[in-house]
Amino acid sequence: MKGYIAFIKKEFVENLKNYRFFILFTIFAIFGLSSAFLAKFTPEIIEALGAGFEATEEPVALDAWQQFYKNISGVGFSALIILFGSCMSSEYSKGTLLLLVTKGLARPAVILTKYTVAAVSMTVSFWVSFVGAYGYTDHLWPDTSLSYIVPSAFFMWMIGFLYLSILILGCVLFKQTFTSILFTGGIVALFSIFSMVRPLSALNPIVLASRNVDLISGKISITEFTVPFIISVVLSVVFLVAAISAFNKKQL
Amino acid sequence: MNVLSICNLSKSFGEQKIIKNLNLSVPEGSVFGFIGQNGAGKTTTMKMVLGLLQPDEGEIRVCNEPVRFGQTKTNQYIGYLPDVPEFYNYMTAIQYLTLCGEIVGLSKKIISQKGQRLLSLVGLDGVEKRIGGYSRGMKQRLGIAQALLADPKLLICDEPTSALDPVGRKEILDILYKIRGTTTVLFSTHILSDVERICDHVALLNDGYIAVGGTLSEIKALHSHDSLLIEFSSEADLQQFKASMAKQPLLIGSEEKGREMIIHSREMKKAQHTIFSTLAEADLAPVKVALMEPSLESLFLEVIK
Amino acid sequence: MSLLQEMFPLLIPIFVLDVILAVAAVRHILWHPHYRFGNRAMWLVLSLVVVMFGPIIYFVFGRGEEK
Repeated sequence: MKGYIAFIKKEFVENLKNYRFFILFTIFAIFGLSSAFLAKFTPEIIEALGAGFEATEEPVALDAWQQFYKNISGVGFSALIILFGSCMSSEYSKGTLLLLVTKGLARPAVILTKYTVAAVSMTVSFWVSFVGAYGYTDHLWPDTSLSYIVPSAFFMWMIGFLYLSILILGCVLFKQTFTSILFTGGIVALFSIFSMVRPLSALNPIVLASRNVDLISGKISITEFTVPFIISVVLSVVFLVAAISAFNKKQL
Repeated sequence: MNVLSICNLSKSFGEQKIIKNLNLSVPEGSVFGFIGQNGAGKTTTMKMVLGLLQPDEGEIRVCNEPVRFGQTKTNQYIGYLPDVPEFYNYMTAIQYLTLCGEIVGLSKKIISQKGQRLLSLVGLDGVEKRIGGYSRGMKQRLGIAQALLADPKLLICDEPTSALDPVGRKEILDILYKIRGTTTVLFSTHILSDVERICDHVALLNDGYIAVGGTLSEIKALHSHDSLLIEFSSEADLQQFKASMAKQPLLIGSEEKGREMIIHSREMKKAQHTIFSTLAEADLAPVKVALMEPSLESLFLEVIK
Repeated sequence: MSLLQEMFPLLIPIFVLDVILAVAAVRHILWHPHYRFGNRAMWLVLSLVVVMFGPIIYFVFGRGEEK
């Protein structure tokens, strides 16, 4: 425990110094703010530019949320994975963990620390982004009232933990940043492929990141998220435990 | 009491058996030199002692507790300095020591007291710059400071001097010499003069096991005075001497260099009798006759032959 | 232009974030002479010209090891 606390302090300082927090936070914030903005004004700007394009439909608040989830699940989470993809490889390549582990830093504490710090920065960035998107949407469409906005975001947030668990396992298994990122991308792609298989699609954790707008629009009910949510949490724990046990046997 | 005892240790990498049935005991309070050629398995052995590598066979005990692979329990007794220690470049020395101290679980006050004391021991007090700007020697010295932070019973240094220039080497050896008595030191090296300077115990690792081991004086006594140097005034004298010694088996394995000759023998006293009488009979007067102190190097070469 | 008037206040926060990114990148480029690839001029131009993505690409891929 004392090792975990000491190492977490080191990780926070390091992530401030190497701009990881800063970059992740800014990316999420910009995309959160601009999603509503883009949804509202893109048709008008194109129209104003006189491209001969007539906006057939006036954009609505739902379009803003559509844009938000597209941005976060695409750009936001990609940035998260790329930024934290080097969290172990930089330690491996320099051999900096060797001294601390021989000092008595428990190996599980190393992995839990890396996970905690990544999860905290993801959480802060995501919810700040959400608040921004909410504020803009509310300002641009003051009369719209939508339900399930917060639960919808909550599910998106939860799948972030799953992505991070997969990433940490990749980071433990592979020495190179690129391979770890590829591993994560591969597993996520596998989930997406399985989400096309009929009987499994309703159970797939990908639902948490792909049906958010349908939940807001009332197209599906919140109960359809229950099973994917449970599976996602279970898988997050499984991947994290796998990462810890892989790291216990890892040669430093 | 032995701080470290290794019993029948074996380790292979693939087909290659690096360590074969190695036995080693490091008594408390000693400065123990662990000698071996590059690739002899010194680092492998040390990593197994630290629980960083899984032995194939055998048992390692540190302060009477068995070492388990992947566990850090016995490491609380050990301070470890790898051959090229790596730190976080953005930290300063005191920040790094603070991190280590917090991991070990020392209080803030003790960390700052000990940190200061250790930094002045290794000559890094007052150095404010970040570790990224350190020279190799400075990193090595900081490595010793961090290894000593938790008052270990045993300090393990893996080739602490081999990457350094003569000045850096001297500094490291001086520090290790300073801490003897308070901490048992085990250090591996292939530089024999370092061992002769500071060690009282030696073990020579060759071919995967300890070929020679014991206190430095024991080992030297065991192989003492086995060479005699004779210097003649001219090369002709030397040739004459050789001719008159021709029927003696003593010259087998002798070395010749100009007017000098070095003769090896297991029974030096008998050999000297023969040589002196031969010299007298041949009416030869060498300029110099000297018994040579056995160097670790000659022992080493003899053993690995 | 009512459209511009309507858009402008909303653009300010986004604009400020972009400026912060660019300033941070430029400051870092000027203080640190080592890059994983490319040179100072290239990174300066990229960070200043390509809004948002320029600085991010610099920090993620171009930034050299901390000395």
